[in-house]
This record gives sequence, C-alpha cells and structure tokens, in this order.
Amino acid sequence: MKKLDYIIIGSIVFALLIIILLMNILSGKESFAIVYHDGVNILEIDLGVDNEYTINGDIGEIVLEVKDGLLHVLEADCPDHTCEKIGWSNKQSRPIICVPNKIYISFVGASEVDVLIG
Amino acid sequence: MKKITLLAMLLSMSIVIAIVESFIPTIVIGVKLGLANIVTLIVIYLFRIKDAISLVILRVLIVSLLLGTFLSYVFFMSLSGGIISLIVMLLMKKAKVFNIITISAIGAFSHSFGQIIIAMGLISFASIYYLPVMALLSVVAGIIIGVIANYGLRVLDSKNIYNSL
Repeated sequence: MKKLDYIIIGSIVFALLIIILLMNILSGKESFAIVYHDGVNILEIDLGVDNEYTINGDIGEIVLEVKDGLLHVLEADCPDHTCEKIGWSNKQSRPIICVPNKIYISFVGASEVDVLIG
Repeated sequence: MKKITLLAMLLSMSIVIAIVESFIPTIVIGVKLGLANIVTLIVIYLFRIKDAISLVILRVLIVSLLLGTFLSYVFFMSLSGGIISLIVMLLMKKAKVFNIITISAIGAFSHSFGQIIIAMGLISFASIYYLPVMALLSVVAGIIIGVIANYGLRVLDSKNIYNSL
C-alpha cells in the first residue's frame, strides 16, 4: 500500500464523515411530514398530533404512527420491511422510504404545507 | 485448466455468494456486504476486460432470476451499481498505480453511488440523504473485500491453476 492509496481512501472517508456530521448538525426537527406515493403528494401530516395513518402503496398498506413529534412505520406490507427498521424520525436528513411500495415520507417545516390533505 | 472453465466456476461462485448473502439482513438500508465482488476483483486481475463485464452482467442477471427480483427496482440498482463500480475499478487497474485494496474500496464506493443514482430516479430524490452513510460503510466493506480478494489471488497463483492464461 503506497502513500497514494492511503491518501485516496483517507480523504474519501474524511469527506464522508464531514458530510454526515454536517447533515446531522444542520438538520433540525421538523413539524410536518409529507407522504408521497410515486412522486405524488397523497398525505400531509401534522407531527404535533399523535395519531395513526394508513396509506396505500404499490404492494399493500403501510401504517404510520405519529407520537411525540416523531413518525415511524408501524407496519408495512412489503418483502423486506426495511422501512420499519428506519425507526422514528422527524428530520429532513432522514426521510422514510419504502422502495417496493414507492412511498417516501419527507419531513418539512410549516412553510411548505399549505393545506392539510387527508 | 482452460480459461473458460475457470471463468465459469468463478461465475457460479459469485452467484452462490450473492444468493447466500441476500439472506443476511442489512443493518442500514440497502447496504449488503457485496462479497460477490471478491470474484469480480479476481476476474479483473486475471482475465480480460470483456470477461469481467460478462461476469458482472451475468451474475446480476442470474441472481435476480433465481431470487425472483428480475426487473425490479433492486435489479436495476444492482445492475447500475455493479456496472459503474466495474468501470471505475477497470480504469483504476489500467492506471497501474493503485493497490487492489484501494481499487476495491473505491469500487465499493462507486457501487453505492450507482445504486443511489438509480434510486433517485426510480423512487425519489430523497434517496440521496442515505448516500453518505451508505458510502462510508461500503468503503469499509470494500477494504475487507479487497483483502480477501488479494488473498484469493495469491492462492490461485500458488496453485498454478491457470497455466494457460
């Protein structure tokens, strides 16, 4: 392993760590969540209200739970249940995505939500 | 043994490795170890460019057919990641200045990159938020895979399995 190798791997790892750090520092807690199905806004959620929501994806149903300002996937109809493992989130840097169902949930501030749909 | 025989055996090994690996649950979303790339690296070092390309395409194709994920989003992500990482690794090998471990690490990084690019197109732009963590873990995995592939190449070399190559 020559010096060049260490420099390349080292700088990539360093750059990635900085990016991850910045993403976590700059990303604050959001108050709303927007659920998209295949790019279409199907539901807007106020994270201030504890509730459960059921949405339909390509494969099946997904049940979302909102509690204490955080949202997570309670139950999902999909082969790998990756979205359930993401856990609780309310940060823009940590969206919840269910790939097979083409669902993605992004967290936004009040300025991006006009009227609550659904 | 003949080149084609060894190549076929390596392809089958990479298919088996990929299938077994698919049963290991991922800690972070979408990040699999990519152990099949051990074979990809070996082929890059021992065979021609077209052999490496055939290997990757055939492996992704056959594994997806066997696992039932053919033409699914996973298939396109694997194909995109695999091809991009292969091109990067082939270019780095051609430059003749990089160590196999570095090539593997950067190859793994490019693989994540290729997967996220497709995910951003097929699913949503939000996928990009997962790239930094995924890329970091893939670099670590790439280093481990590079070490294993290096060892594999030495074993093959010492056994003189490919006299005709």
